Amino acid sequence: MKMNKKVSIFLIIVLLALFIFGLSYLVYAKDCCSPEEKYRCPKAPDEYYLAQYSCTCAGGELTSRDCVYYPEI
Amino acid sequence: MKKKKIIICLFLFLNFHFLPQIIKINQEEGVLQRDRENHITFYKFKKFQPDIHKIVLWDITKIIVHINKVFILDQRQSRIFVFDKGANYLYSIGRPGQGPGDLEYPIDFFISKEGNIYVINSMGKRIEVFSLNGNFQKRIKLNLPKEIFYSRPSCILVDPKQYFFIAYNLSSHLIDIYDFRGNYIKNILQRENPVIIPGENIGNSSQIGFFHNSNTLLHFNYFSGIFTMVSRMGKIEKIFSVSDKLHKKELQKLKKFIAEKRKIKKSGIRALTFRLWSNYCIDADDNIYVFLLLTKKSKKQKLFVFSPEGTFLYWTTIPYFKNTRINKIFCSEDDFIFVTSEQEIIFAKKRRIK
Repeated sequence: MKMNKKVSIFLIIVLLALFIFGLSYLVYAKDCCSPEEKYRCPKAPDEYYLAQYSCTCAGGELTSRDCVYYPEI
Repeated sequence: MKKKKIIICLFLFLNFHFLPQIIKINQEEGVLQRDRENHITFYKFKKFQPDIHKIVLWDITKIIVHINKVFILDQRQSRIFVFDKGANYLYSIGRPGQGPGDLEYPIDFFISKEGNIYVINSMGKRIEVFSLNGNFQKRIKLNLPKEIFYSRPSCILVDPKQYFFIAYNLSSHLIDIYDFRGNYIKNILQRENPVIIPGENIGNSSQIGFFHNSNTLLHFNYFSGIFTMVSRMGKIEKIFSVSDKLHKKELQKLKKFIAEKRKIKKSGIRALTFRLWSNYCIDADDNIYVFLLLTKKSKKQKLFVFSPEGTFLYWTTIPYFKNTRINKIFCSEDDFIFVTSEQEIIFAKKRRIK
């Protein structure tokens, strides 16, 4: 019976830690840009190049993407 | 006597509120274009080259010269590097991360007269405040209005009363005011074209700045090349731009490109930003300088100069920059600072005009 109590306390701690971790993941807007994201920006028109790209995620889902183009020299 | 005073007050009040907006869009020729003797020229060009064994700058985002120190924000390294004017590295401010004092996609910074450095983090929508020597002081979380939840700050200005003026990468708001706690106060400039959610949008392309000798803010759209002068109360005072054939042609071409992309349905929000102009800088006399990033092959890049009233004065070129393009320009009290497309920093003095 004593063992069971210890196990249940351990389980509660683990669940609590998982909950906090999950919550922090949801709350923080994270950058979820992978190098592949670059290719999700439209191909630059002639005489332009893609200079910067960045993405915002909230809760693991992509919310917005920025593509910045400069004219070629 | 009392009546007279009331009439004068009423006149001033009406004048302030109902002064017509001055619109000087597509100014064809500069009023001083033919008067070459009055054009600005630069001398004492000097490369600013930090010791590469100590510091390599990857992405020069903004430069401010403050009390003989040069503060350079490098967005990709998430740090502000501080040098003396001889390019000797002194120390750095911030580091990449999400904790207090850490920088996450720092996009702009501002140094107040009191000597505080305010760094705006685009991703985290927060401001980290440091002292001039780099000590972290506090973090201010910006509480953006719900309707622009998708927006990310892109520019910051701080006034002496500690109000923050914020511009965004993509938003229906162009300039918003926040208090010192980061609470939203009000919007002072709106975007004309609506933001489509979900879908493709043209980014706000905003740069904002203060004039030295007036209380007005200057918003610049580096896609359309249009300047908007707006009071801190939110009254649009002047709208102005220059007419350039090359820019006009490119603008039409790109608008067509974006319109085609818009037809394809997307699930997220995407901001497509085309930089056709450099950032602008304002000198001690409140004259405005901006480069057109577009150039015809074998032609030199044009530097456009406007008066503080928004009158197009003239365009000129800088012979020193032959085979390179200037992407950024910064004005300090004594110097002009140019950043080339190869991430070179060049300081120069301005030779004044008669």
